[in-house]
Formats: sequence, C-alpha cells, structure tokens
Amino acid sequence: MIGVFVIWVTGIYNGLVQSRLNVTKGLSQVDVQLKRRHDLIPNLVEAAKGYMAYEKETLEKVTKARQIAVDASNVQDKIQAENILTSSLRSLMAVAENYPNLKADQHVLCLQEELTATENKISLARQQYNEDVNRLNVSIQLFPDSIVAVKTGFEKAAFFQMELAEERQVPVVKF
Amino acid sequence: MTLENFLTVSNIAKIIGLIFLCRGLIAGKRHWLLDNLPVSKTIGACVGLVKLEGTAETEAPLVSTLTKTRCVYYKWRVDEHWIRYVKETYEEDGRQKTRMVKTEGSDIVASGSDYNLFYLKDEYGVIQIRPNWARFSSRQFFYKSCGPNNPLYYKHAPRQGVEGSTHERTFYEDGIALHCPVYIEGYARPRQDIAAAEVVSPDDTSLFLISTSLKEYHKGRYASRFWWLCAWGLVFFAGVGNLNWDDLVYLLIWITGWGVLTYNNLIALGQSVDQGLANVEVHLKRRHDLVENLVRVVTALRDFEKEVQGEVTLLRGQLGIKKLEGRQEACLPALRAIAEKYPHLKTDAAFLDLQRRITDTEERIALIRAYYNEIATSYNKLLKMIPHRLIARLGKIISRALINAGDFERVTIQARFAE
Repeated sequence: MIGVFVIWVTGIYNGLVQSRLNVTKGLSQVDVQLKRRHDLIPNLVEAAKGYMAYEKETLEKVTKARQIAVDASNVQDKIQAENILTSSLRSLMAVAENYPNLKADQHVLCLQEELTATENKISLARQQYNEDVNRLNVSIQLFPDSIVAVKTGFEKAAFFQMELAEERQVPVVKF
Repeated sequence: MTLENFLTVSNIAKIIGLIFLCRGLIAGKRHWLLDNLPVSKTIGACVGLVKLEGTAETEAPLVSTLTKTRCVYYKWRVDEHWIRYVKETYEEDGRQKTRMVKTEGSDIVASGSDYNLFYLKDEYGVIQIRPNWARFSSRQFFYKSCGPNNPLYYKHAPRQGVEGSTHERTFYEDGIALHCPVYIEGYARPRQDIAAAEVVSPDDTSLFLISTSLKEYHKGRYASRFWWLCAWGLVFFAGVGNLNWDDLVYLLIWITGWGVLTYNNLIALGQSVDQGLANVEVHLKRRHDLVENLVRVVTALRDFEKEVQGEVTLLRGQLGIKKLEGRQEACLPALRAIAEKYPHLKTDAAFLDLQRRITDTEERIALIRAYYNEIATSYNKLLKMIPHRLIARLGKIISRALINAGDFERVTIQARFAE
C-alpha cells in the first residue's frame, strides 16, 4: 500500500517537474525568436537602405551623363560621354527611358513581409509559452496533485504580460 | 480476511463499479473543457486546444478508390457474405448427438484508406491540418451490394472468394470530399516551416476529431458518456434488486468525486480564460512592435522615391529643351523618348501592403478578444449556476471580467483628411 502511494506521489512530482521545465523552455524559445529579430531586422534594413543608396546614385549618374552627352560639342567629347552613359546603363537596366522605374519598392515589400513573419513567429512562441504556463498552473492547482505541489514548493508561473502599459495603446500611424 | 474471502462476487462487482465510476469521471473531465471552448477562426487560433470550422481544401487532393472522388481523406472496404454449416455436438437423453448448424456472416476481403495534410479554410484564412491519429467522422460516398454479374464485383477485390461464399459483395466508401464543410477539435501549435499555426493531435489522441457533421452533433458526447458510466457503476456496485447501505457508500464516493472533478474543471477552465487574456496581450505586443516598424519602412521608401524622382527631374530640367530639339538625331535612342510622361510612382504597393497588414493585425486582435469574451462568459455562466455555484464558493473561485470598449471608442469614426 505504501509502495503504491510512493509511486503515485513520485509520478505526480515528476509530472510537475516536467511542466515546470516546459515553461522554462517556452520562455527560452521566445528568447530565441527575439534574438532572431534582433540579429535579422537591422541587417535587412541596412540591405534595403544599401540598395536605395545604390539606385539613387546610379540614376543621378545616368541623368548627369545624358546631360553631358547632349551638351557635348565635338565628336571626341560625345564618344567619351556616351561611354560613361553606356557603362552606367549597364549597371542599372531599370533606367530604360523617361522617368526611372525604381526597384527599391520590391525590397521594401520584402522587408515588410519579413517584419511581419518575424513578429508572427515571436507571437506564436509567446502563445506556446502561455500554453506551457497554463499546463503548469493547472497541474499545480488540481486536486489531489495540488497537495504534492504545495509540499514540494511548486509555484504558479506568470502568463505573458507587457512591461509597459502604454504599449497596449494603438500605435500612431503618421506620415 | 483472506484473499478467497475477499474475492466474492459482490466485492468483484463493487470493484468493477468503481472502475466504471473512474472512467466516468475521466470522461467528465474531457467533456467539460471541450464543451466550454469557443470555436476559433483560422487566423485567431492560439496555441492550445482549439475548435475550428471551415471547409477542407488542398492543392493536391487524393482520389478515392471506388468513386474517384477528389477528397482529403477516404476509407473503403469490401465485405463478402458467407453461409457456413458447422458441426455441433449436443447431448440428448444421455447420448452424444451431432447436428449441422447454419451460421451467417461477412468477412472483409479488401480495404484501404488514405489521408494527407490539408487546409481548413474559413472567411479569414487557412490553417494547416496534420490528420495523423485523428478520429474521422466522415460522409458516405458509396454503398452498394452486388453479385458476380456486376463488373464491380471483381474490380477492387480478389477473385478468390471466402469459404461458403454467397457471392454477394458489399462495397462501402466514405471520406471527406474537397471543399466539404468540416468541424475540427485538436491542438494548435506553431509550424516548423513558416510563421503560422497548424492543428495536430493533442497528447490525448482520442480528443483529435475531424468531422463532417456540425459541432452541435458532437457537443455533449462526453457528457452523456459520463452519466452512463456513473449509472453503470452504480448498477455494478449495488447489484440489481436489493438496495442497501452500500449504495449510499457509492453515492458518497460519487458526490466526492463529482465535487473534486467540478473543482478541478473550474480551475482548468479559469486558467484557459486567463490564457485567453494573456494571448490578447501577445497580440497587442505584436501590434506595437510591428506597426511602427512597418510605418517607418514605408516612410523611408516614400521619401526615397520623392527624392530620386525629384532630383532626376531637376537634372533633366537643366538640359534645356531648345538645345535638345535641334540635335535630336544625334542623341541616343533612350534620350529621344524624353517626351513628357508622369513618373511611375511605386510606393503605392508598399502603402497598400501596409494597409493590409494593419487590417490583418487589428482583425487578429478582435478575434482573440472575441474568443476571450466567449470563454470568459461560459466560465462566468458556470460559476453562477447551481450546483457549480456551491463548488465555486467552497473553492473561492471568482469570475473574470469581459473586455469592453471604452466610451471614447464607441463614437463614430470620421475619416478626416484635411486637418
């Protein structure tokens, strides 16, 4: 009888320990996603910015080169100007004619997609954490497991909560 | 008391009765949480136990064996009917006699089933379903009995019949067709490949249900099991016919068990309510982190476009139209097309995308809040009802407040462009 009781209590205790470890794991999985965001987003933004700077620079060069080509008075100058122009054109096929057909928008759309996906991943990791907390809290409070939990000093874990109350406010979209 | 004394018929019946009671309480534990969970929408499904409604969709549907229906799951079976005569010995007037007894039945001669990953689609979006271990409750595609004259007879089943065959085969097929409305109870978890949720089997695989019937059909299936098992437990425990003090013992155990069960269930449901509120927080945090960054990115693109197009135009302006007119043939072909055109602004795509993402974000928050309000309401309702009210008072369980809009949020919104 005592043996059965000991096995039963051990089972409950092990279950509780597992739940608590799951909560710790859930929290560190959130950290993994936060770290991913921290490492990824600034670099993606830099990459998009880099492209923008490149596009702008090339376009201005091309436009200037055109001006020189038109303004050139002798043949020698013209050939030289056109050489500059062709080499600039080669580097940016986007500049066909008229107004430049900017390509940076694709990079920005891509960046928007990645930002959203990153936040979705973080949100899912937090939901998983909440689920783990839920399981731990339920198993701590259920009778008769709660007796074992109280005797062995298990405590309820806290659900995800924002540190700053103002973060609950609607973000201001202003241009 | 020795073991032989203990193992009397009535004691064994009592033990069986208690086993029934235990199983009943387990069934009660399941029905509680499931019955009180609200149905989620696909994009509002949070990690944990979920109920979903929608239609079954897939890019690569399966084709069922008998009816060639495009579906996400199917199961088929061919039964062959037989009649056999079995020799039976019996005793009559102290003498051994034998006689032939006719027996009837049917055997499965061929069968098969298949399922695949599919998507559940509702008005908000899609969610992936991984149906391993699921219990399917599906619709009948096909049911037909036929003899060997029918070409169907040999088509899907072996030529060799069973012993004593009457040459009558019955074909069954059922499944979940493409675009068919389905109801799912399962466990949502984050997907490994992309940032979305998927529905898989919970730890307790018997809770994973994929059904073509409505949720009302499944509501209370564990509740009725609870009552039946408890009633059978009482029958075994007390024995039929004579009521005595033992029955009172059973009732006492039952009341204690019910009390503990109800307390535990209220605690578990209360935790789910708190989890719902915490998930609202998660989505608010997502909005806070996401929207500001999206706005910043789009602003950067807008400024960039403005600057580049402006500067290019300015540089061209210095060109001098007159000079150009005189030398057109000398210019490069690219320059000939300088005839005035408006620039092709591209930031609009990014702005549209921003609008879509903000709407999606708010949609998610609204769905999670609605989910919280529903689960909190069913929890509060239980706490108010007799006899749960008694348990709630004994266990000091309190109700949860709903989410309401602030007064300033109730007024009509005016789309104002000019300040």
